[in-house]
Amino acid sequence: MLSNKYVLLAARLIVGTVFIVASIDKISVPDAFAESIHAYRLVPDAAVNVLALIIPWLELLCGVFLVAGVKLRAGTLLSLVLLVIFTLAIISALVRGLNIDCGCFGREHATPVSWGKVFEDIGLGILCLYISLYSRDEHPGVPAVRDT
Amino acid sequence: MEPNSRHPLARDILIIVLLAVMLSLVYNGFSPHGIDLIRVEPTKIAVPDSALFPEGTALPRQEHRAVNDTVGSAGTRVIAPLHEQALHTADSMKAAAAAKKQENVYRIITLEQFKRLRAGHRGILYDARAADDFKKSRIPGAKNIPGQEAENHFEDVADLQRDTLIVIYCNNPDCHLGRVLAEFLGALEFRNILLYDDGWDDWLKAKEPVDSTRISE
Repeated sequence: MLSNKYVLLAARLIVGTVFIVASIDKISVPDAFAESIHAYRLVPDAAVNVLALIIPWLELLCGVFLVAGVKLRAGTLLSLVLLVIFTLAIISALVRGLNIDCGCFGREHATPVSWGKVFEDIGLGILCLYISLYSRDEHPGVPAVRDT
Repeated sequence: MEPNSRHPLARDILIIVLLAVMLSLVYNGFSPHGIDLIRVEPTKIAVPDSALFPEGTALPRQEHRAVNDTVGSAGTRVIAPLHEQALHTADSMKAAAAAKKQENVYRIITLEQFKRLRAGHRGILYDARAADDFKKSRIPGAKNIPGQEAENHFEDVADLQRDTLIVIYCNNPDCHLGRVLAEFLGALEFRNILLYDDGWDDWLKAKEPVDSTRISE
């Protein structure tokens, strides 16, 4: 059941779509995402804007590659790394009692950091682990697509 | 054998990261919403009592000090280097504001100043937090214009006199939605915008009255 290609495809579509949706608003309005990153007080000021520019594009590329089944292992691994970073950042904000926007889906969908967000990210992380463990080739579930 | 072919996963990760860096820089260069690569810290200028209240009713000096202590304990507020002189005269504040890039300068008020303005029934109070938060509870008398959707509320403010005193609050100094709303109103040429920067969290901490009447859709 777990190695069923349609279950794998569904997992990829879920994670990929979430990453794509999450990236769109951040790419179009990077200053709001920069403010969100800054509010976590985890990175030096000089790095805030650079991260605010690059992270959404990483999310978009990972999402697109996951949906398309291209460079699947790399896309899944990068997605997992991003999710681990996001989860740790949210947990640290919660532990420090920061009442800030999580910055998860950009300015249009501003929501405060919460344990619910942590569990969402953990859920997505588990899906990423599942995809990387059970994907036996570069493009499971989409045989027609070839990796280049 | 080439190193790349021995480590296809590392190669693919590198390709994705480099692609993301390249696309982000190119897009940022052409986007109308592009940002500087190095963050410019917003300048927050503490508004002196003399600029807010009629002469002779300024707070005693020790209250000024108490306010400053509050600012320091927050640990995150960035007050302009001109903060000290701005506290003394309104003119220095104006000069400081004029010297800076206007869109990045915010005039902030303390809880005490905010309470005095409210006691005098002065100005319009806008809550810049998300609509869901506002619906749960708010500072009494506040109207909601969420910073992230300020443009959708153009008609709510279009007819107001441009010299109307407007006070904006968000959650705390880390909440950028208040600054986003201030920028929006500033772009509409409102000239008298104040930011109660410590915001909702400070209001709750001070145990000030809260309107918790649930607002339905």
